Amino acid sequence: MAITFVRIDDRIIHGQTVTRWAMEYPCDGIVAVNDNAATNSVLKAAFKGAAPDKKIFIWTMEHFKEKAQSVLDSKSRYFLITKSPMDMREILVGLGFDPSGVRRVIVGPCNDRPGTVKLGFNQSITAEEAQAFEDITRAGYAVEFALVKENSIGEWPKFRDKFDLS
Amino acid sequence: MRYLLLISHGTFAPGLHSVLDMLLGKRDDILSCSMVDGMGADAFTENLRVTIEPIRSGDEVVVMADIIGGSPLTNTLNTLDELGLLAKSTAFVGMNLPMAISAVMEKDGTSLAELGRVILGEGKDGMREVELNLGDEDEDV
Repeated sequence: MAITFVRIDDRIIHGQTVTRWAMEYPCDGIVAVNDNAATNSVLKAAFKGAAPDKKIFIWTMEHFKEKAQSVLDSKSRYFLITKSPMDMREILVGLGFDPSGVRRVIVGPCNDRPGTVKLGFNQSITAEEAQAFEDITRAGYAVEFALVKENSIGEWPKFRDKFDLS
Repeated sequence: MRYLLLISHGTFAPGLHSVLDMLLGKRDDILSCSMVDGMGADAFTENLRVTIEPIRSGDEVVVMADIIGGSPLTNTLNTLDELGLLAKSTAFVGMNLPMAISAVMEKDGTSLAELGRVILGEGKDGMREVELNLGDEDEDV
């Protein structure tokens, strides 16, 4: 039980997550970790109302660390979502959180911003994010870029040469 | 002024807006904005701020969106809050044409509190199967 799907998504919770991906993997609820959203009452309320039939939690990283074990112990099946690849690295590598044996991290939309390298449609990343993907991959996870399941553009090793990594 | 703000993924909201223009005539109290495929949330929010430029503090906004949980609606609510407009807004999802028409026709004569009940009713009533009576007989005069 507990974690069924792990995703990094610029928009945290939105149409693709609650409709498409929830058709692919069992989902009773969503645990989203993002300090900004968790402390913005309107964003938090909007996300929590995003899927009326699911339990949705929006937590700061701090709060997630406190609640991590209780999520794993839960009988409900959760999607684990962060907005930032660095936050996901903190969870999987820094904290050593094991998402119930899930070893694939799906990367969704990444906003086009100044200083980003475009990997694919609506997926552009910074050097700092590239390093986070590298670190997550080295920790034993497959990092796959897929807005929706049919449109996967591949896994991290395919793109790592575009960046200067340590 | 009380505005109707249509929001969606893709081209639904501007499309619905164009139909309202055709059926009810162009009005400057109807605004629309959408997040087209491939558009990031930041770009959508910038476009939204430009779209809602005419709205003044003290104005009221009736937001109608395509679906709950989508980024367009989430970002719209957040932006309205940042601009101090959220307190005087109401928002609806699952918008359809009958609901939008009703919102345009009723919004200025109805309290915001009552408006929801009215337009949701019209929206739901507007959904039905079409039955064609192909028989020859006329009803009784």
